[in-house]
Amino acid sequence: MRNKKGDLVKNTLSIVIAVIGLGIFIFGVARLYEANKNNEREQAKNVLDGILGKIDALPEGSEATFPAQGFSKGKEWYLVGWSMDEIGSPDKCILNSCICICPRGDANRLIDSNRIAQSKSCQEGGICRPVSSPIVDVSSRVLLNYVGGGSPFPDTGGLPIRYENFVLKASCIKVPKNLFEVKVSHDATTTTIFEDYGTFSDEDDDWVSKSIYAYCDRYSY
Amino acid sequence: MLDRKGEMTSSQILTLVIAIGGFIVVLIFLAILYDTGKGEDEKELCRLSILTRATAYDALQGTVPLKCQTGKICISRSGKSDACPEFLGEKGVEGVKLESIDAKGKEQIEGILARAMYSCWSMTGKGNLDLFGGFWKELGFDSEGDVEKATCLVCSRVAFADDVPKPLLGQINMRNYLENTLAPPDYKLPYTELFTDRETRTFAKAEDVRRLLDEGQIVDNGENITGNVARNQLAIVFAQNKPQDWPDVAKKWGLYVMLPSAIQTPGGFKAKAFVLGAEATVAAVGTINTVIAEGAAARFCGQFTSTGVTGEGGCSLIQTIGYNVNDVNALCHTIQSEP
Repeated sequence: MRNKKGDLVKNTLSIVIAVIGLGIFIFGVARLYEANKNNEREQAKNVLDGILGKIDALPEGSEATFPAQGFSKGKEWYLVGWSMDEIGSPDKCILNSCICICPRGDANRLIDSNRIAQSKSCQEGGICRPVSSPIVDVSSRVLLNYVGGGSPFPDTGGLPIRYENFVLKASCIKVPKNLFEVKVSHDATTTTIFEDYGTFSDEDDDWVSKSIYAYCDRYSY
Repeated sequence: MLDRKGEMTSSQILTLVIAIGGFIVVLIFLAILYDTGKGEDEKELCRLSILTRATAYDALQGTVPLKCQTGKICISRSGKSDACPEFLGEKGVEGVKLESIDAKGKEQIEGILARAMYSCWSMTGKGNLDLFGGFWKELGFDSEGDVEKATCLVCSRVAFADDVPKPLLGQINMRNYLENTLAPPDYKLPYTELFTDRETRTFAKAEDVRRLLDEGQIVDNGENITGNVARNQLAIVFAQNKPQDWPDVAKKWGLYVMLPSAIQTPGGFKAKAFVLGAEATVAAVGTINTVIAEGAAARFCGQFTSTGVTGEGGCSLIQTIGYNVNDVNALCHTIQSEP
């Protein structure tokens, strides 16, 4: 004769263990998902806060150059800045100057539209921090010495053909997966962060223009 | 004799106890690994996350985050954590007081660097674990065709304050220290033997390096390395590469690693490098007189013990290099530690 109470205890025990096991499994999967979802954003935040931490610690009116660490990620991220009176800044920066780290969206590369695209991607997926100085300049810079004729930037027809000691600025800094070097300065009116890509001359390939143009989209000159 | 119906048998009780115990262990493990373990010792947390990733199935490796924070050590006469401008505005800096500026101080610095290397070596599974296995390629985190570059963890950054005399740094002799100082945890073997799994205690002769270069067994790949000339800061870096043709990378890496001829600190302090493999390790000390274990170029990479795919190998190395964009990026295409 079967022992019904014994079976019940045995079955109950199995069910309890199964439920606990399932609970732990679901908990683990949820944590994994959450950790990976937040990991990239968390790392982006660390990059931004690390750079701003150094700027805050700098005496006013001084400059510094230091390596910053990027991170591995699924999306391209870039640093971008917005001055207080700049039209079109992200809503999260309104009434403030700010420095943001933002994922690269699907922006097209038209010169007139990319600042808008930057603002959009910063508003939607970026992390922004207010800055006390009213003017913010975040850029990648190249010193051009290009005197051989023609333009290294074929689709920026408005640029002059000859460049002598000409500083080309793109309004963002690409965050790589390894180290990048930034030069910073700040005073009461201006906070500047830029990455110096060095000098570009006739003898060089156009890697500089390609890299900056691909990631930063906007030139000022 | 009692024979109550429905009473739990001893085997059922045992099963229940084991199951509950197992669940608790898993819960603690998950708690430590994800956020709730923030109070845990950082190195242990890193070690645990490395072990978890290395033993995970290839497809799941990418879901296991590494929780490795770069250690920051500031060496100064004052011992203050804010004495090094390199760490301006950074948190978690450990200040180390340089006790003297004579031979004792020199040995103290050598000890700090050696222990940092040991810590990195130990924490990352002694070079045998496959940390960045198949998933990095799937996610596009591979070396993008540049097989000489690797995925890295910056284990530590070591900076020297302005009050540390440059001539003292110039006297640092890591080669001598690593060969003649017993290493933790047992203090029975010198660092060189420990790092090479007892393969060698001393560094090879400079002529061996030249011969290997002449024979094409290694390549001098260090010409673009600028070293630590501009800044007074070093990084202890763990790097790993797992290309298809890993023996070829071993050859090319050897070069890089074995001839860190340009890796110089401001005081002329000679940098050093270790290549850690499953079967052998190569140790090298900077300058053109770099020394390596003879024939080690062919052996310093090996099969990983934890890879999800049988027979896959790769290269791991721990190297002290100048913490600057040029040098770190020459070795690492991706850094996965937290700054």
